Amino acid sequence: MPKKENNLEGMMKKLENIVGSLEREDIGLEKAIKLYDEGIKLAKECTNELNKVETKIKELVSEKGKVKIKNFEEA
Amino acid sequence: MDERNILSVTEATQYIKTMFETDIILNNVFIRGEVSNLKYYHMGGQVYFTLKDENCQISCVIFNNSVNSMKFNLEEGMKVIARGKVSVYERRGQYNFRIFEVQPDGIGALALAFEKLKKRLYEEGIFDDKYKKPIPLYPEKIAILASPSGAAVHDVIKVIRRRAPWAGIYIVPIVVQGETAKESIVEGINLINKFKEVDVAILTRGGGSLEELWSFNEEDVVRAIFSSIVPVISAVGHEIDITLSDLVADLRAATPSQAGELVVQEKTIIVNNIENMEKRLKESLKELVYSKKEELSELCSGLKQLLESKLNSVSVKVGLFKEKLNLLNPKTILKRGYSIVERSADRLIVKEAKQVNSKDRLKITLYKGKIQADVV
Repeated sequence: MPKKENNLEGMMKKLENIVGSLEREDIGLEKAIKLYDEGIKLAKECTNELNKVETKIKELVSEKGKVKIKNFEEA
Repeated sequence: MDERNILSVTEATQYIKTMFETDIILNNVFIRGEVSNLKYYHMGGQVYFTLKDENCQISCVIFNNSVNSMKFNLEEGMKVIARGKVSVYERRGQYNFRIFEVQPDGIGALALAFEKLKKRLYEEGIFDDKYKKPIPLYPEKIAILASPSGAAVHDVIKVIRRRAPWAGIYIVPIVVQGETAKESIVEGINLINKFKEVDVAILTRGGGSLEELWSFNEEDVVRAIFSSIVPVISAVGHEIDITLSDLVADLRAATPSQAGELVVQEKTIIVNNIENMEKRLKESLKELVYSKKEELSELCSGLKQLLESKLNSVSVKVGLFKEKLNLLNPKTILKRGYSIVERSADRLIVKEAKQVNSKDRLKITLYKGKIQADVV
C-alpha cells in the first residue's frame, strides 16, 4: 500500500486530526490560525482530488515475474 | 470320479476370482454401508476396513492411488457410498471390495472437506478478527481480482464508477474455477502485493455450486489472502455461499455489487464530510477568538478594579494625613487662645523674654487678626 501522505486517505486523516486539535481548547491563537489555514487548504485539495475523473481501467498482469500495466478492454 | 474334474485349490480360487471379475455388476458397483474396523497401513498406503449394515458385512480395501485423491478421511462409524469392484484375495480365499472412490453418505465429500478445513483453520486462528486489516476509507487505487469476462467484474466496475469516479481501477484477471483456478488466484494476490500501489483489492466471482466455488476454499488461496499486505474484500458467489476466502478476507461482501459499495463511499458523502470539517474549523476558530476576547475583557476589568481599589486606599491615607496635619497646624493651637509673638525686625519667633529688648516692635498673631506692639 502506498504510504504517501498526499493521497486522499492521508489528507483526509490529516484534516480530521487538524479539526480535532483545533476543537481542543488548550491551544494558542497563533497556532490555531496556522492550523485553520492548513485545514482549509487540505479541504480544498481533498475536494480537488474527488473532482478528478479516472476514465481508463487498467489491467495488471505478470510478465516474466514483473508486473505489467495494460489497458483493460471491458467486454 | 474323473481325475480331470479335480481342481487344485489354486485352480479353484483362480476360477472363482475370474467369475467375480467378469461379472458385469460386481465389476463396477456402488455399495452403501458403515465403516468399521478401520486400519491404515502407512507403509503400503492402503486402507482396510469393513463395510457393514444391520445384517451383513464385506471386507474392503482402498489402494494407495485412490487414497491420495480422497478429499476427506474415513472415520470409524462413518456412513459412506463406495464405488469399486468385488474381487478375491487368493491367499486367504476371501472375497473383498476394492474401492476406487468413496464419498460420505448424505453429506457430499466437498462439503465434508470444507467443514474439516474450516475447523482446522479456525483452530489455527486464521479467521480471527485481530488479523483483519482495516479497509482504507478513501481508496484511490482499487484492484479487482476476477474473471475478466464474467458478470462479477462488470458489476463491481459499474458501482465504483458511479460512486467514485476519481478512483483508479486495476483488473487482475484470474481463473475462477477448475484445475488452474487455485494457482491463478494465489498468483493474482501475489501480483497486487508486488505492485504495491493499490490501496485495497476485491476478490470476486459470481454464484455457483460448491464444486464451482471450490478454488475459493483451497488452503493455498486462504493462506494467500491471509498473508496479503493489501487488504482484501471478498465477494464470492451469492449471499448464501460462504467460502473460506470470505471468512479469511478482511471484509466480506455478499455480492460483487455490494463489494463496490463497501469499497468506496458515495462522493456526496465525502464532500459533505469535508464541508462539515471546514465548518467545524471555522466555528472553532471563531469560538477561540471569542473566548480570547472574553479573557481579555475579563483581564481589563480586573485591572480596573485593582486600580480603583489602589486609589481608594491612597485616598483614605490622604484623609488620615490631612487630619494629622490639621492637628499639627499652629493655627489650631491659636484657636485655643495661644498666640505667636514675632520680632518684627527679623521675624524671629520669640520663645524667651531675653530675646526681646526695649523699643523692639513685635507682631502678635492671634487666632483671628494680628496686633503690632512696641516693647517699653
